[in-house]
Amino acid sequence: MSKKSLDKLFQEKFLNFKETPDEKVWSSIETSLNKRKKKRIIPIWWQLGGIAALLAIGLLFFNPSDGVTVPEDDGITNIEQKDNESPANDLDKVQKIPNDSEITSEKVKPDDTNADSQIAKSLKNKDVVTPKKKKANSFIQESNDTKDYKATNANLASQEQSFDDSDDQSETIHNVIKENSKNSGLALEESTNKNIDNTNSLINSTTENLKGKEKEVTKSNEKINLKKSLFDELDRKDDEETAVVGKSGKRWSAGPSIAPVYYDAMGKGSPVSPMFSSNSKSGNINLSYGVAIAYEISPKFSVRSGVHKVDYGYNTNDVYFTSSISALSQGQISNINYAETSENLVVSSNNATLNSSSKSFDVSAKNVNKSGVMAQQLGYLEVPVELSYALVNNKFGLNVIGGVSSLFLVDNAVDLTSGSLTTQIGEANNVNDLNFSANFGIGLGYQFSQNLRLNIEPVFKYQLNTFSNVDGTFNPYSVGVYSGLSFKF
Amino acid sequence: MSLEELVHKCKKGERKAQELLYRQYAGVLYGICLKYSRNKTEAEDNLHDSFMTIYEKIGQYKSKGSFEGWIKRITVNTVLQKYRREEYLSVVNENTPEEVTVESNYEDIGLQTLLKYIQELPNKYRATFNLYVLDGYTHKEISELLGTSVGTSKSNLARARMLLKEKIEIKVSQSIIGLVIVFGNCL
Repeated sequence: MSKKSLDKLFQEKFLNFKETPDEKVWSSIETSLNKRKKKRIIPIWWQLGGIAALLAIGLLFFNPSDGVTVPEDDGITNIEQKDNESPANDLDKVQKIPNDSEITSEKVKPDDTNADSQIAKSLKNKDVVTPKKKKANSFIQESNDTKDYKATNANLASQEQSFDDSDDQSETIHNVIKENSKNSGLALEESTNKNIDNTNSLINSTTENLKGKEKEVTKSNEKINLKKSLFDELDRKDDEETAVVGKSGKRWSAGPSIAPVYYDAMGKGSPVSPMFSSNSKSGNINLSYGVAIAYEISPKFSVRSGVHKVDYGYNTNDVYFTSSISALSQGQISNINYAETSENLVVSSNNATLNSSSKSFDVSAKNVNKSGVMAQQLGYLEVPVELSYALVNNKFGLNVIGGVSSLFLVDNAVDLTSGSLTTQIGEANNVNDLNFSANFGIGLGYQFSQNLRLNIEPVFKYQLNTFSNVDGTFNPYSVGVYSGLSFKF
Repeated sequence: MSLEELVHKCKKGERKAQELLYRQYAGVLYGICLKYSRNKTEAEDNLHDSFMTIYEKIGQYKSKGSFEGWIKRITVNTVLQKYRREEYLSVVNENTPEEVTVESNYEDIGLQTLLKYIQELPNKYRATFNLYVLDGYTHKEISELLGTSVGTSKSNLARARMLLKEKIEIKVSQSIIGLVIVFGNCL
């Protein structure tokens, strides 16, 4: 009986081995995928929120007016500022400009004493231009600026060298003076003076040299500026092209939005009752959430809308209340439709008034009146129509937002809270079912990809007609920081 | 839909594409899971986990090299990872023969029986045998995957072979005894 390798036996049997799994495997995968999707929404949101907050802070603190940063400019700007301080450093910075690298690739050695040779080197280097770089510089070459700007760099090289030379010379001079003063004797005085004269003339000549070089540096800076503007022009063109490409197809964007909203009012009146006008009032922070959509009219302008659920609330502090039989006849606040359970409730802004006007049920209690906080809660469905104008439209975006919102009343309640107890008095009958607000805000954005953008938008909303019957002035407003993601499609 | 398109849609998390990917590759990957697992139930669990890992990591697939190769490696790794913590076999350094041979008429043994024998092997033996014999990994790669030395990998393989040979031979002798009994009864 012939022998066969065990390995071979298995390899042959299991060649292209496949088996169809039970259908329940896919069902369980599908369930897991659904769960994962749900789980992931919140953590990603928080992570992105955190990043966005940091970016927003960074943007505000470090670059409030302009989100555009062109790294190439930095080196050049610094040259202009520090020109007279340290030419050697500046030259290094010039070398950092990528498009100059073919010329300044060889670093000038400070100890090298032969400026001419340095110039020669620089000029030599300028001829070594890689094809790629040539391409990048083609625009400049066409403008016939290449020669000037190469010469500029050569000048800079020699310039820097001269500075070093002059420094060296001054040092030598000082050393000579020092030595001379050390050895100073009457016999040597004359020769010393001669030396000093010589050194003075040397100093003069070096100062002249320096002045001359300064002029050259200024000239070269002008040329670098010219170069810079050409590069800017190129960059700008590129930006425009990418903007056109990016904006050619997708104009719509939509995404979720969430915001903590602070609600308060200007003026001292009270929409609940005139008697609460003098009470202190405080705004509440609530959550607004919804879906925002936007349509890009042009690269700068976009129209936005959406639907948001928003709750507004404010408290009237230091109110007093009790339950009384007289409530039904005289103690009720006219602007509130009382709930059945609260028909005997008498609320007043002041303890004394409450005692005189009402006869309490609770005769056994020592202090029948309780103090607390009256909270008015209003829930709306908000449909904004806003126009957004982009001040900066890059990776970071800065927009100005203005528009109006229609607010449809969906929740309306007036609650009374005393300590840990809360009871609903009823609902306000002077709240308009349809309210409008004027909106103004600033939008900060960060473009994660071509289709995904994160927005943080502090928006002030002035409510125009929340209440139909208000005693005194009570002009509510809200401030919310709307943050959300928007997906382009 | 082309494979590239399918992968692209899976990267975007489109459910239909994910299902299509499953339908296309579940057979091959389930085969791997069956070989590397102890039984059908564990193989199904491992197939589930492997697909979840594939969907999760599909964004990392850069269209370089075979997609099937990539998902197979993920599956093998997923299953191995599961058993890695469970069992550490003692290192056997005795000299074991490199090649194990069986009678050629053992070829009659069915695939399912052989699969069962593989599944019955201790975890590391099973993994090593599958990786080396059926999936063409080297001992160096196996030692890296399983966190052992090359020597251990070799000895695990030899042990696996011996165990499989024993199982096959027992099976064959049982069959022969069975045949003899049947034949005796007939007489």
